[in-house]
Amino acid sequence: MPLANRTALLLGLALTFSTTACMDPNDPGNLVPATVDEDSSLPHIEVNATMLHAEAFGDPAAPMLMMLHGGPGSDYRSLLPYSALASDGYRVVFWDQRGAGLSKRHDPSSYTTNDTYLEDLRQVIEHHSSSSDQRIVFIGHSWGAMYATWFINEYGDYGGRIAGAVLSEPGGFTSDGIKAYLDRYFPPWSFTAEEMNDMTWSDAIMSPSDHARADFKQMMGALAGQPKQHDDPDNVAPMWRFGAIINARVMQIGLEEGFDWTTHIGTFPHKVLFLRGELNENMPLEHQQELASHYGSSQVITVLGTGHQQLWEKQDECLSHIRAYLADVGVSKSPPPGGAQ
Amino acid sequence: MKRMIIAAAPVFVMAVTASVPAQEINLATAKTTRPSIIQARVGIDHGFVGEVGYRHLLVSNHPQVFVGGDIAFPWASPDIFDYRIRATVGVSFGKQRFKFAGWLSPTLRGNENAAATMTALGVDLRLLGGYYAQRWFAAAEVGLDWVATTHITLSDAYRASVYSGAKDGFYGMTGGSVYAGLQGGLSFSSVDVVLRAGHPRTTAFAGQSLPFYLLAGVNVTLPQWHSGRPSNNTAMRR
Repeated sequence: MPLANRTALLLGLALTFSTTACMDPNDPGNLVPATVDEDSSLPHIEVNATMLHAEAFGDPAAPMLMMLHGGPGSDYRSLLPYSALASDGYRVVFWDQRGAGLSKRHDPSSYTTNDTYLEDLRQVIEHHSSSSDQRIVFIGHSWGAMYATWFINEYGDYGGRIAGAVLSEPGGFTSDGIKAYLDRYFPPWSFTAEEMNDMTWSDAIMSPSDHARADFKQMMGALAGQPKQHDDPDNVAPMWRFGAIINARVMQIGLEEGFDWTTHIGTFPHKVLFLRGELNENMPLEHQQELASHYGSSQVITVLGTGHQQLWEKQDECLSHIRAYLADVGVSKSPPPGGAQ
Repeated sequence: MKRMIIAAAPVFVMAVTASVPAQEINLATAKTTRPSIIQARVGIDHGFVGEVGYRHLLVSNHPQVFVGGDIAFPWASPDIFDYRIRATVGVSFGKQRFKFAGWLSPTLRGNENAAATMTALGVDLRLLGGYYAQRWFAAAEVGLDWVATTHITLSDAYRASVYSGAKDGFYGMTGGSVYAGLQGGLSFSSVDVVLRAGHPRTTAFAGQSLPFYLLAGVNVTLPQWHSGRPSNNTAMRR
């Protein structure tokens, strides 16, 4: 058989094998878990023309603790230990943001403005509100802390409902601030590090051509950790699935259009608590103090012996700080069953 | 989608087999009296890489036919699980100094990262056209570095911290690259000094982490050895 025919036969067999006998990396549940639109058994809500992975704990009428995960694109899995606050008498709301975690994925071309993200948060608040005067406290980690600040800058105390915010290491409140932060953050590894090697070398094997592969590739980097953040490699903060596309789109739009979320937060009438990890080189104390100074009233607490993932690695200590803060800003708990508190 | 791919398979196969492959070799100076070409490269191609290879000129005239192989490792932080191994066959056409060539290279790649160990089998098809003189050459290249199947074994860390239900096994068409660039070189008596540079994209034409490749290296041609000594026999034919 001529060489060309043999080659054609082999390539044809390879193509047939790859398309019929192999698993599809984009099929739900293969490399990454299914999202809420692919698995109806997952808890979810529908707001603002999307489906969000979401669940809530505690008395629906109690003061609401709105948990905002990092990323953009990560998920609330590592924040779930704070569902313990439900037993303190709070309504604790968790959700994966648009295109993040196990929430529905969208075509990147459909996401053209970050205003969609802001409206998502407002509608999630309304979805979980049992009354028009139910008080709310944001608890946000990293990007989630920025997200909370963005909302406060736009809506103030939202008609008297937002009573406070716990901000765990926001990266910045302006596009210039984020650029400066990213300059410190990237490259997370040196150009000759094994982790950098792995990311670039894997490009020749796996392309981020659909959401599943893009998310999987993003998690290669996320699992490798960020040395300057000093996350505990023996106690990795868990996640379900990182939304790579929404991460890229939110960042791209935000940096291209520019933003300044400090224009109104100075008039926010409540104290804001900043939690930071002692070891995080990307967010030193002075960086968090500078961000905190934009609020009218704030406090910065350093959690010792931890990095960027202090909410995961030091849960008991952070819970203690959050409980003290909630008492400080006077967000009353709902009375537990039986009336005793 | 699968139907479309399967329907397109014969067209793709015909396109591949109708084409001709080659790397950074001065086709004007390759000759069967010195049929063995040792290659060494260093540079950036999906990482800081080092590469060594061997090409053997089987047929010297119209067309020239080469066979060989190479192995590459990212060297910035050596890891035996990150590698690329290629076998290759190349054919060049053209008389005078304008030549067209190509290489068809079954490729095995490995990568171990925090999430998984991946072993990919695919094929690299590279087409070139250029000017080849005795002392120098310059050519343009386009290529498809296609991954047919990848065996993925998820790491314990991935299962523990991300997704315990992830499935190990063979995955079809996980990705690959298309690329376009230039290559050239200066030729001395038995040595070519070569340079290759270009721009890779994913097979969906999206950007990659490293937006360029840039490799420099040398080819050293060796005489044909016969009965323990170099031979002057130029009649090695298929």
